[in-house]
Formats: sequence, structure tokens, C-alpha cells
Amino acid sequence: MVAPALGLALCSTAGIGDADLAPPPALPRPPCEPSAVRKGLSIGAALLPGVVVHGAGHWVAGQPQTARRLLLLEGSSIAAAFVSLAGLVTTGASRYVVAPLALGALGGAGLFTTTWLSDLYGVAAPAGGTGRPLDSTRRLRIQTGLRAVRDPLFETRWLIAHGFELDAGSIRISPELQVSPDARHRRLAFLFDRRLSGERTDPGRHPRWQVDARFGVRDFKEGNEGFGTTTAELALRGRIDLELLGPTLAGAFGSAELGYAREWHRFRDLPGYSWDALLGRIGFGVYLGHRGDLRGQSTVAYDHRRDTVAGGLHLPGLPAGYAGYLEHRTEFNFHRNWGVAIDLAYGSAFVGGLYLLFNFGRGTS
Amino acid sequence: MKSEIVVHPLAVFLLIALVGVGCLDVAAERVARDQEVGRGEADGVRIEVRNGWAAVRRLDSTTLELWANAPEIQATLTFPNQTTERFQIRIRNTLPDAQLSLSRTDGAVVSLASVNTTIETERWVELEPEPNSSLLLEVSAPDSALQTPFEFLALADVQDAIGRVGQIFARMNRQKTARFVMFAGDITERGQADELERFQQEQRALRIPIFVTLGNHELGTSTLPYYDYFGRGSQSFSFRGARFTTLDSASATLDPQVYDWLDDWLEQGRDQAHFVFMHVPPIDPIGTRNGCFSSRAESNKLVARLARGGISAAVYGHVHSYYSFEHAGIPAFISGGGGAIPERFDGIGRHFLVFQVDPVGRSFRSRVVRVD
Repeated sequence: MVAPALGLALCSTAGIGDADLAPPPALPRPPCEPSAVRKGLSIGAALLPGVVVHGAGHWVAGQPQTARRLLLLEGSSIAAAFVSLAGLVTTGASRYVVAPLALGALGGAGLFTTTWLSDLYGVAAPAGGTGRPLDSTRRLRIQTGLRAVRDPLFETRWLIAHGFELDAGSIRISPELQVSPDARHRRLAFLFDRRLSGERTDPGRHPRWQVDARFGVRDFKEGNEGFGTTTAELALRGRIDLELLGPTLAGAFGSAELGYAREWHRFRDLPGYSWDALLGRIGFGVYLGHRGDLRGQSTVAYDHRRDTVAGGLHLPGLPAGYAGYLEHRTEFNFHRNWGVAIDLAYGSAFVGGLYLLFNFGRGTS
Repeated sequence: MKSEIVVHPLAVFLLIALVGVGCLDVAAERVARDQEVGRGEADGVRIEVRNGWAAVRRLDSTTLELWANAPEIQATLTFPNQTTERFQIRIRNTLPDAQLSLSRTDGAVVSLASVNTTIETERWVELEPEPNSSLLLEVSAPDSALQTPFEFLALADVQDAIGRVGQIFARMNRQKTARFVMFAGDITERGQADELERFQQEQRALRIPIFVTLGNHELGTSTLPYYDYFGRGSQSFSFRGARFTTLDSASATLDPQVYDWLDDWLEQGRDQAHFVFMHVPPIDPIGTRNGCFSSRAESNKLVARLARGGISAAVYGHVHSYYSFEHAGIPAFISGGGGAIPERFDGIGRHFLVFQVDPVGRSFRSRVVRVD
């Protein structure tokens, strides 16, 4: 349920739903494309020592300003993660401080990954990036598809997923249903997003950064095992086009979410109980395609939730239980109104989905 | 679109996922180790402990040493064609009043000579082995058939505080009627052999045995010496009409095989007071911390099974504090008071739990004993 819902959300945070989108203002490109040798050296530097010193690839590529910004962000991410982890250790993950400290650690780790991927992307991507946001209007998108599940602990192997996203400018509504063919496993979601802030641009232009508030209600029923969960959640979600950090990052974007959820668990013939959940998500993505209908986007994200089909990662050894799951989603429009999407989620289960997308009110520029 | 190399998020995802392939069945290797516990063969001498209720610490032509992980054990000991004159059997971590006996397959009792030991939880004997013989070894508790109330203790999460665990044992020794301690994981900081050895050395000061399961900190070394030192992670035994089940949740999940075992043990304990112990709890009362299972669906699956199986209580570790709560109507306790970095600001500190069990009424009372 959650993975496609988040996929929908990713689409929304990527600005696909914004009205009357227009191309973002062009940023200065490097005066000339680096030679093949320099590009190869840049990619190598982004890998090593770039995995440790973020921005190393951009230094070699002759983009010192972007390199400095990436290094600064990396330093911030390390500081945030270190302070948070130190706080978690010294307080024994006290119930009174664990939420902000866990978010700090998660945010630090996520930002660290994002700056490294940005360095790698910036030196490897073609001039102008891999693509730009969809420059079109779209009021309604319908998504329907099938998800395959590999979970050693549950019988469900297939889920039929269906949902739509209604975009009314600053408000977005995204209901969704996932159900197994025997209807024993059923997940419902109703997500409501409200734009709080974003870069002020011409009406309808794709904002290069934005912050949304999300209110969501989800319900999950597992009939084979006789339990279910209803979740109410509130979250802040943000997205930023990374070209704001430097021209070589055009076509890439980062996203983040933090929030709180309350879960009510129910059991057949047994008393239920409720508890809390911390919501946190951080992602990195790229736009695909520059013009025409052949356009899309691709993202990879870490999500701190454990209540999706994927569950949380089964980390071996000491960190067992503390991680959420990884998700990838790629969507691509092959026609004015039609597109396809795939998603892969990896936690305590493997989940892969294939979807058909239909966009109403879409037009290209 | 230009065809140049780009950092495609799918590639990043697949790289991470490929590294982690196999982690869906993260506890499978440990299930296999569980099934090997209690079996050994050396110099022609063979031992097989029923249900894996003891770890084989040493086996050669002259000595068998077992570490009991249950109040009573039965084992089959087989000698080869050629044997030594004397053979020593040393059983460690027994009830202080446990009785060790050996009998032949025809039921005849084998004569044993006791070896002196100052440790209350050891039984040490010598025998003259007969070539090509097979013996039934039994460690029994004199009160095992009683259905009268009794007391046991619960502890978890010692980790790097092994040097101070003697203080906890000293306080436990004051619980004169307690029969044994159930330990819900994280004996050590990294699960290394020297740490496990040291814990067992410290344990000599305790006058009652400790029956354990492992925690995530026992997974800190790839060779998992825990199984050689303590025995199974998942098992179930009965004592005085009550059932005790330990489950290996050290990876914040249970292996599918363990769910099958659990179904059997729940059925066996349906008419008994039944206490279940595991390290990582299926739920953490502080949900934003999530010191619990990786998947909330699995949390509910396990809790539902335990509740439908009619267990009396579940006791967990992992969180270094004390919580008492209910899930699906089951009383549950998190008690990680063994000395590992404590949860601050909770006013708990090092502690253990005392359970007084009435097997006939299938009821219990519990209380917290603070050590500091």
C-alpha cells in the first residue's frame, strides 16, 4: 500500500502535478564540456576518494563552487549524524529524546548519501542533465498495476494496485487500494497533500523547491493471520531540484519527509493496542528526457516506515530492527496521456510492481 | 536524450539490494545451528542430547562436558570398541539439587563416582565405560513433577557490563526460593568466545542456573560461538507444570522454521502456564524508537500467535529499561536491566524480575528487584 502511495507522492513532489508547468530558467552551464579523459577522471574521483570526500569529482571536473557546496553539505550531514548517534548512545535511546535524535541520524545519513550521489551524477550526466521535469499540466492521473511480493513469512504473493491522484494546484488527493487476488490481504490509503511553500515562479511553472504538508489515513487487513492496522499520519515533505547547488546537477533532485503516525492494531477475537511511529524518508532522483512525450523520472529512497508490504530491512548483526526499507521507482511517459511505472522495494520482503499510468489533462510544451 | 553514463537510481537500488540478497532469511543459518546443538562425536564417543537442551562443551575419549540450557536433560552416550579406563562426565549449569544418573539400555543403573566440585550448579562424575555400550544420561530435578508454586528470575542485556554482573548474581542469590534464571539475550557486547567464557566464569558465583537465548549482540562475530557455549536460541521445556519457551529474535524477526516450532510448543503448552522469552520484542512501547521487529506486520503476526496460543506472559530484552504492558491481551515485560548502557531519565537502572508461578492456576505474579 505504502510503496505505491509514496511513489505517487514522489511524482507529486517532483512537481509533475503542478499546473501549467513551464521549463525552469536555464542556469549557466560549464563553458565547455570536459574531455572524455577528464570526465573519466572525474567519475573516478567521485568514486574514490569521492565516497569519503564528497565533491571530489566536481573538483577534478573544474567545478570548485559545486564541489565546495557538496563538501559543506557532507560535513553538515556527518555532524548531524554524529551528534544524533552520540545522543542516542549516551541517553540509551531514551523515550524522551529518541524521536529527534533518530531523525537527526536518519537525516544525516540521508544527506550524506545524497551529496555523494549528487557528486557522481554531476560528473557523469550529460550536459544539461538527464532530463527536466514534465512541463505539462495534469489534473488527474490513474495508476493501475500488479505487485509481486516475496515474503518468507506471509502467504501473499500478488497484489493488485489501483489508485489515482487528483491535483487541484496547491492541494492533492491520492486514494489507493492494494488487494491480493483472494482479498485476504488488503491495504487502503487516503493521502491529502497541501502545498505550504515553494519557490515563487510564474503560475504553473515547475517550482524548483517545495514543502508540502501531508495528512494520511491508511488501513491494512491481513486476513490469513487475523489482524489489521489503521494508521493516521501527519508529515512535512520537501523536494528540491539540485541544480540550485550547481549547474552540473541539473536534472537531479532530492526529497525528504519527516512526520509522526499513530497506529491502531486490531486482532480477530483479541484486544487491540495502539502505538506510535516515526516517519522519515530521504530520496535522490533524476528526471528522464528533455522534450516531447518521452519523459519521466527515477528515484531511489530510504524510507523509515515498517508498516508497508516491504517492512523494514533485516540487517544482520547489531543494528537489527532499526532500519526501514529501500525503494526504487521509475516512471516514464511514452505517450501524451499514457505512461508506465515500475517500483521495487526491499525490506523484510522484496516487492516489485509494474503499473500503467493514464494522465488526464496532460499536454506537452 | 544523450546516451552517456549516468547515476541511475535503479542501479543504486539494485546494488544495495544485491548486497543484501539473502537477508530475507537472515536467521536461517542460526536455525541450522540450533538443530546441531547437543550432538557431538570425538574419538569414537558419541553424544546426542534430546531436544538440544545442552551444548557439548567438550568431548574426547576421556571427558564429556555439557552446558545445560534446561532444568532437565536426557542424552544418549555411546562408547566405541576401545575405551579408556575412566571417563569423566561434567554437566554445568544444572539446578543445585539436580541428580545425574546413567543407565544401560536394559535399564540397569551404571555405577558412578562423584568428583568433588565447589560449584553448586555442576555435576561431575566418573565411570568405567564399557566398550560398545550405549548409555542413557539423565539430569533430573527432584521437584520436576510437583505442581506447586515456584519462583524464577528474568534478566537480559548485560553486554559490556560482564565485569559488574557479579553484583546482580549476588542480589539474585538472596532470592532463596528461585529455581533458575531465564535470560533474554545480549549476554555479551560482541558475542565473542572470550566474552562468553567470561560470563560463564562469573556465573559460578550464582547458585542457580541461567537458561538463555541469544540477542543481537551475540551476532557480533560471524562464527557465532554462542551455540558452542550456551546451546539453542529457540527451544521449549517444561518445569513443574509450567512451560518455558525461548525464541531467537536476535535479528528482529523469527525464521519461518521457528514459527513452525512455536506452533508445536504453543500446542504443548496450551494447558500450562506458559512463559515466552526472546530478545528483540515484537513491539516497542515507544514506537518512535522502534527497538523491535523490522516489520510491523510480522510483529502483529507473532503477537496474535502468542495470544491465540494462550501464553501467560512474554518477557523481552533489547531495550535497557523496564516496561510492563499488554499486547493483544498478553502481559508483556521488557526488562533489559543487566547493566548495558541504560535508558536515561527512566529511574530504573540495573534490575531483574521475579516471577512467582502457580502452575495449577496458570497464574503468576511479578515484581522488579533493583540492583543499584
